[in-house]
Amino acid sequence: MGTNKQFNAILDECLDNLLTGKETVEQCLQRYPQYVAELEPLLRTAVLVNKAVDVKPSEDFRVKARYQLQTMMAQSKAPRRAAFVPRWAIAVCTVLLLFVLGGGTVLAADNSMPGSPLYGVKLVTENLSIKLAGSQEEKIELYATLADRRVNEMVWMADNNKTADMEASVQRLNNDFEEIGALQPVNATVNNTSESSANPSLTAPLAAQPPTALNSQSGASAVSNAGGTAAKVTTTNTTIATTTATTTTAVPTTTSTEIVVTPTVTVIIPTGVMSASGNNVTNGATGNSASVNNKHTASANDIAKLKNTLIYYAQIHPEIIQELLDSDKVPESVKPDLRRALAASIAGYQNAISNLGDPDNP
Amino acid sequence: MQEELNLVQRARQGDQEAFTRLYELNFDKIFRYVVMKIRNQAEAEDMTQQVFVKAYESIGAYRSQGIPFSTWLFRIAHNQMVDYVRKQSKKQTIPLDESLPIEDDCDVEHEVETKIEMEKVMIATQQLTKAQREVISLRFAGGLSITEAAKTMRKSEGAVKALQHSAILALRKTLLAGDKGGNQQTV
Repeated sequence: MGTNKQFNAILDECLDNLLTGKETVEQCLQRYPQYVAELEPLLRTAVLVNKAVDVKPSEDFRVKARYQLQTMMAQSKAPRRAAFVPRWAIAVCTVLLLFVLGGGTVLAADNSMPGSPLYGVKLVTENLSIKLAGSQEEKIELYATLADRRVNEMVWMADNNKTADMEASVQRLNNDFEEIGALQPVNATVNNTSESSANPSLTAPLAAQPPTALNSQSGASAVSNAGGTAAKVTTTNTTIATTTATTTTAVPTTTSTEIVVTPTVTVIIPTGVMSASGNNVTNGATGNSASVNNKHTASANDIAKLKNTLIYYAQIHPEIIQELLDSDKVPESVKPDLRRALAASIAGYQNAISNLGDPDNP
Repeated sequence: MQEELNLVQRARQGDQEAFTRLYELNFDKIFRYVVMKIRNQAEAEDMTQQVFVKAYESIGAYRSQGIPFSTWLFRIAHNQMVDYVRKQSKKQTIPLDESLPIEDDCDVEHEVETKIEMEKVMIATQQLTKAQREVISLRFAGGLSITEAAKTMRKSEGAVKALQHSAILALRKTLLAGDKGGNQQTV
């Protein structure tokens, strides 16, 4: 195992030097004569692969593409910063509470990992965010965000050999998944059609994109940073037919926004289901029309975004949990809970996606 | 790295020149990555352009947090690829593009050889697992370091190094098998 690791490191070092032109195959082999037999064929193959992938776009295309980009930039507004959500009441209340807790502490806590003295503060602020969430959809989104945090934390714990608190994290994760599956969105009773919601599929034609601007994880671990929250872009999915005229421009989906209250305080408040206006939603299955004026009711577009987020998490969370289960870095004592978490993640997301119905067929 | 951070910061504030610079710095890498994945010149060009359009639209939401901008771009590209492959899988297989680009200033014989070699490698990569293929695409076509590739793939560096090793080994075997009885390739 150790030898393999050592060889992989040597191979990678030689590849880096080869790919950047710092060294030739021969020079690398000279430095590691004991590995010549194993290293040489791999490096020669790498040279071949590198040569094969050295393709460039045509000059015509390069010129055209640059022109198109500049035209697009000139015509569009400045890049959107993470949207500031005008939910003043909640934000102000939250800010006050956070100031009571101490803004700087909360920021530090937000980036803390299990085992850190500030981790408890992080959990408190998370609970607060859940309590302040206005609608069921927001709660689902928040629980999914929190589940993503827990998953990232577990990867970090495994990578950094700090697994003492892993059991508690797994239990929290289980709880998040259960909540995700148990919550009933307001729109579910309006939007659910007998056909579309009966067979939820994780391979629905929605692009499973990483949600944007979710919680900011700390930079403590490369792997945990690289979790689902780190990819802060999703794309507007053109296959989603919206029933409202709210957002029609091709902007990235923002499932949650950091509201920067002071330079040091951040609060997670989801925006993906934030439509405050009432929407008239028709139940396609029965032909009944229901006027939904609840200020917490999400639009079909918002539901589609949330669903897209959940589909994304439904793909990556079980995958990462399975990797943890396969890893020898995770203590055996945690694995039974982790297996439950794997099952709970699949069931939780399936239920949640099912409960959201089909935004294409309201 | 510092230059990239400055550019990103300026681009987030709406500086189009800064974004154009980021575009220029990353365009070829993203293009190579996309070509290697989908092996279709025209589609790869369109898709590369789309990656940057999406990056421009959403750069306001990008926060470094230890994730380099290029890693972020590769994730956008990867997501588009997932979408593309999903659509393609409904239309049967992805055809091997006859018009894969080659250097303009090479002689014809060399061009043909390059193209044949390239096609062999591309075909060989199809025998790899999804994760192995991703590592090869990110490392060789995308030019990412192991650290960056690990962040893009959400795996540990150790795991990515191991995948890289097994991928190159598998490529070698496939390429050697392809050459049996025919031209001997120095691999």
